[in-house]
Amino acid sequence: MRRLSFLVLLLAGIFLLVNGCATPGLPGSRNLFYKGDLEEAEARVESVRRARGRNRVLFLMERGLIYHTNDRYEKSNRDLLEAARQLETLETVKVAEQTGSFFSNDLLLTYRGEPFERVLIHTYSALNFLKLRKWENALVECKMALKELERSPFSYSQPFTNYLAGVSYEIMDEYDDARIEYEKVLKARPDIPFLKHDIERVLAGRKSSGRGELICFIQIGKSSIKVPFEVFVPPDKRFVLPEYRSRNYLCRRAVVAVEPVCSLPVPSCGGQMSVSSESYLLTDLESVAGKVMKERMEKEIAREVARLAAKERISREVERESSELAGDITRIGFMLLESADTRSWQTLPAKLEVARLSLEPGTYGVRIRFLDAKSRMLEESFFEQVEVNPEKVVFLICRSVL
Amino acid sequence: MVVLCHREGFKMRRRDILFFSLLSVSIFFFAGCFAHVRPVDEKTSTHYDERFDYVDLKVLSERMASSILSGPPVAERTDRPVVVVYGISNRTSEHIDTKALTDSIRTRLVKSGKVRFLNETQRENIEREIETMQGKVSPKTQVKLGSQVGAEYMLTGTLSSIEKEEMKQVRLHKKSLFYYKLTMELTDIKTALIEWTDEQEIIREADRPLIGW
Repeated sequence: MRRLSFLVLLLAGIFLLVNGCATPGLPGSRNLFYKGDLEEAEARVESVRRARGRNRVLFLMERGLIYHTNDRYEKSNRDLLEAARQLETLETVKVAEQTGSFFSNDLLLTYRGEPFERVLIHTYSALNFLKLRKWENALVECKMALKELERSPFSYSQPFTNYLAGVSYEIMDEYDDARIEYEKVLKARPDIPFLKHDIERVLAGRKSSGRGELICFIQIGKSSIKVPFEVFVPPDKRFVLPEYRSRNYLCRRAVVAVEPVCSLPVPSCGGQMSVSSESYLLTDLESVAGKVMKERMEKEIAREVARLAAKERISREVERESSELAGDITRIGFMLLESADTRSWQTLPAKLEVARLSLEPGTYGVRIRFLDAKSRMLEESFFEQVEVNPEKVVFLICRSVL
Repeated sequence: MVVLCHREGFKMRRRDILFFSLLSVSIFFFAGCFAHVRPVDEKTSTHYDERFDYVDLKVLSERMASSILSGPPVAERTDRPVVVVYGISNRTSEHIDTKALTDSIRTRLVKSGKVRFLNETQRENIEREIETMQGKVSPKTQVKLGSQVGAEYMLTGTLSSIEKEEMKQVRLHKKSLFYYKLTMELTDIKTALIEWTDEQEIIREADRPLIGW
């Protein structure tokens, strides 16, 4: 009877520990973020004094992206770089954590992010550095992102990260490395028209064209989220696994329209003309998330089966030493603890796109129009007084959550 | 309670053994939980991980400064050549403060008394100060425009790295090798010739456990 009491208390303790692990402030911030209320989302997430240890990395990723979307690039980098540092220390597998989670569920494990999320920490950090005009730091982050991509055990590509790396290498006059990255993107996305020009340009090296470049990094939609799905094994066994489910969003594509800002008639504006360009898909994060989950499923199922077997063994042991009732209580306790790890980086977009235009030097107004499936405009971001200088690159970043 | 020793007749109950084991483990864990701070001698070499750290900065700046002072043109000059620093470009995959490295090299060279440096980062402030002085301060203390000294040499460099990890296999430890190379050059501004160049290397291997508590 004492053993039973001890086991019930232990299970109850694990149950409380696991269910007490939600990070306060995050769900509210995410909702506000997707309603478009960035200031409130930022205020809500800033009011969280300290996220719990197990979910700290997730909290830093979410807050980092909220800051980034709200143009707070320094603050965003503070969080994203801290998340990256924390992840380095998590490379060591903790036996105590793994043992605890084996007998309960994966929510007890410290969240390390999916492999593509770990790449995106560095990718967003690189974007922040580009906006802050810290080219060397941007390139360092791109290199870290590429290293993370190489390390991943899953077969997927993230051309957005490769393209960003190509741009960063090119800014630092490392043309060979830039060409390698652009070629990787061309292989993954042969439909993008400006990629061949990018490769030709870096092959030619530093040659003065007298023109400037405008690169728009565009983020569309809402990432997939993890939801639990139950698998029942007759007569009385059950385990729960996570799967990705897409979320609804309206925006399907973006168009960049550039107009010269000039008080004189257009022919007198130094040759500046209005131009427009579609944005082109580089990384479909929904597809990447689905692929990662699919490749991981076999391993997840094997782990769950082993977990079920171990729990059943313990329940039978309790039944043998105490009573059938004790064994059933133990089984019920274990079943209640069964829970899928549905933690994920939920403020990520569904699609990462890019538009690139070569422009005559001058001042421009840039409109980025987000369109739905029927090409109706949903919203527009307007950047006035964008200065384009010869041989220089201007970066614009924007996001539609609709 | 019956008290008997195995050798001398003492025997503890299983419950008591479990209790004392848990107590010992708890004391062991909590003993490591109190934070403490202690000063560290700057001459001590302490590496917490395999990445670039303060020890590497000191070693590289010492070696580079020594190389500049012992080679031409500095060693051959009887006067003190004037140098401007244009920084070390970071080509590694880590965030390294290369300005701290150039500052350290510059400090060593200035302290040697054999080299003079222009304060490139303060140029705008200096110009602003001189403009402010014009017509506002006494002629005795006024600095005229065009009084500054021109640089003869430019000091630049590149810090690069190569990182290798052990191939994936069944293992309890993960080994990685870090190689850093600092290359610096002194360029004659008049002729664009590189009058001095040197490179310094640091190689470090790290061994991390893959399993811990």
